[in-house]
Amino acid sequence: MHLTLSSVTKHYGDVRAVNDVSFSLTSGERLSLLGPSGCGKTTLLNAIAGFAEISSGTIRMGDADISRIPPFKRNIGIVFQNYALFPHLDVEENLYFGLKMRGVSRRDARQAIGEALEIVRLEPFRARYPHQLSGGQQQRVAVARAIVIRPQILLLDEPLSNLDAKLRHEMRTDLLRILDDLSITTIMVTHDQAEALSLSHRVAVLNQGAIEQIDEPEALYERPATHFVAGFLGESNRFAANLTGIDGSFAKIALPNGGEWRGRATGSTPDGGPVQVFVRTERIGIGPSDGAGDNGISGTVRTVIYLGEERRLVVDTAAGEIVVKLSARDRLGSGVGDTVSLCWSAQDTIILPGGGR
Amino acid sequence: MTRAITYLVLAFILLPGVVLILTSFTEARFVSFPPEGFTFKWYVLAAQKPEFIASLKLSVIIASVVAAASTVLGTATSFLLRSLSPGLQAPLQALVMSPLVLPTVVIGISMIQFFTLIGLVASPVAVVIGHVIVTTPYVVRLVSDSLSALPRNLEWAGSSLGAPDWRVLVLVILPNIKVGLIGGGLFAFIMSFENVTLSAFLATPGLTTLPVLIFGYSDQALEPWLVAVCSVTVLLTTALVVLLERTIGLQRVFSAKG
Repeated sequence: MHLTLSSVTKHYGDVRAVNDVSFSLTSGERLSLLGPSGCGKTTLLNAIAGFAEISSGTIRMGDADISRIPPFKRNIGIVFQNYALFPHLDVEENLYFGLKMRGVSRRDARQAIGEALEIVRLEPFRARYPHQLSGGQQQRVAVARAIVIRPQILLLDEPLSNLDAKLRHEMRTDLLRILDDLSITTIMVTHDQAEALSLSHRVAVLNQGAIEQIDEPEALYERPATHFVAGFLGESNRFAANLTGIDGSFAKIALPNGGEWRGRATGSTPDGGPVQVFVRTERIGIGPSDGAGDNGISGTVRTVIYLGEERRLVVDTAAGEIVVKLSARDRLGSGVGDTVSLCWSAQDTIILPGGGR
Repeated sequence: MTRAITYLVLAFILLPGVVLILTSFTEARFVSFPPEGFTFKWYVLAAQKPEFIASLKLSVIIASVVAAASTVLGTATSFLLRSLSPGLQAPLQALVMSPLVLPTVVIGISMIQFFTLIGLVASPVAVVIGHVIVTTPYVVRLVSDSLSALPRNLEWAGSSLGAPDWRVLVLVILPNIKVGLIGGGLFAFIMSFENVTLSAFLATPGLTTLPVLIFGYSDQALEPWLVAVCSVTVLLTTALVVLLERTIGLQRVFSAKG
């Protein structure tokens, strides 16, 4: 089922919790709403579900305008952050609830319930009550309850955030399998970028109630369109610089300290003027430059933080402090106080117009 | 030491009831303790007193009606209170709870005035309304307690699954506040059943509840059959309190949490 939001706005008094949001999902597409807390992503989800009445704009499911339809008529399945399983009903009855509302007899419901439980691999737990299940199992019951009614849209509110770190990784793989099997149009809200990037076809980054950028995960990560997105996704070093010219697909930039780098030029890169340069911490290597397109700078190692699977270096350079994330496979021959030369490719040097900071 | 004090306090609280029940089995013609001999004859005599049976019946009927009415009213009030903004909720909650802090005598006198004004004095309806006013706050307290423990998401889950508001109420909310409903109803029953002050104010010769009957007799010489009547009410109330404790635990009835 298509889902289209046009200029959706939600006020709370003077506060615009959701500000002029528009996007469209094709049938079976999965979108993540990603952003810091308070960015309006949960309000937007509640608006689609019908729990929050929108102040202006329209929400369409297929060809039907559902903006003013009460939640119980929307046929949207929702997995709540705290799962919201009915504590007085066992697993089977929790799943039967939605079918009962649709007038399905208990006998006819058995098969649908069985199928839904099979998808989430919980058949042996039919007769258990929610409090007798682990967090991961409750999460899967919540998914089963939402999909057993064959909703046209599935909404997931922070689906994995209530689980501990290890279980979260397992459930992410599980959830991806389930969502792939279902191919329902799905919107999920999350503040966890790994969740957003891994589970969805497209990600919308929200900030202060508005969409900053909406794109496929890799495009979003590699080609951020705004300072906010570049800073919010992953971890970047940020430099203020001046763009001095375009040379084919590269842009020449001059740093305040006199250094010169080359960055990736795109269609939206300006011809000149103040720019912000973003370089992701994991794209920086240590050692002499080994390509013509490379940028480099030398500096002194101030701190080394060992994190097992990675090592983080804070290096003082003429362009300011630079954070470098080295994988466990990278050999590190230097320690605190040593002089190192940092290098990274021009392709990994993101240039966005604008001054600031 | 603290244990000894606990037992002393318990004895202090329980002894009057125990003495009463023991006394009711005496064979003597006057109330005496320790009881002489052992007999059920005062219970038999009490059961043959038509005014006792009539007032017991009246008390049970009134208490049942009061329990039902205050459970419905109290539950509705709790829902209303919950839907209000915090700024409005606190003062209204205090208003609903106010019959608990006003002396019952004051409520009784003001009600006589009020009922006389509207021409409703000396009717069972007046007694029921009076009792409902003092029992409803208990229901509100218990049901609000249950409601506040209920995640709002449960209702959303219900409506997202296709349930209109009334089905969410019946299928999702009410089953999950069952404890508050049963506890509130039972407690309202007990409070109504044992109420003397209001019933005395609002009662008339033909309309005497059991506690008022006992109170009326007690300024005459105390007879053993009356003591038997008293032990019946003690046992009946105790049975209900045990039921209450079994269903929800008494500490929730008296907890300060609104």
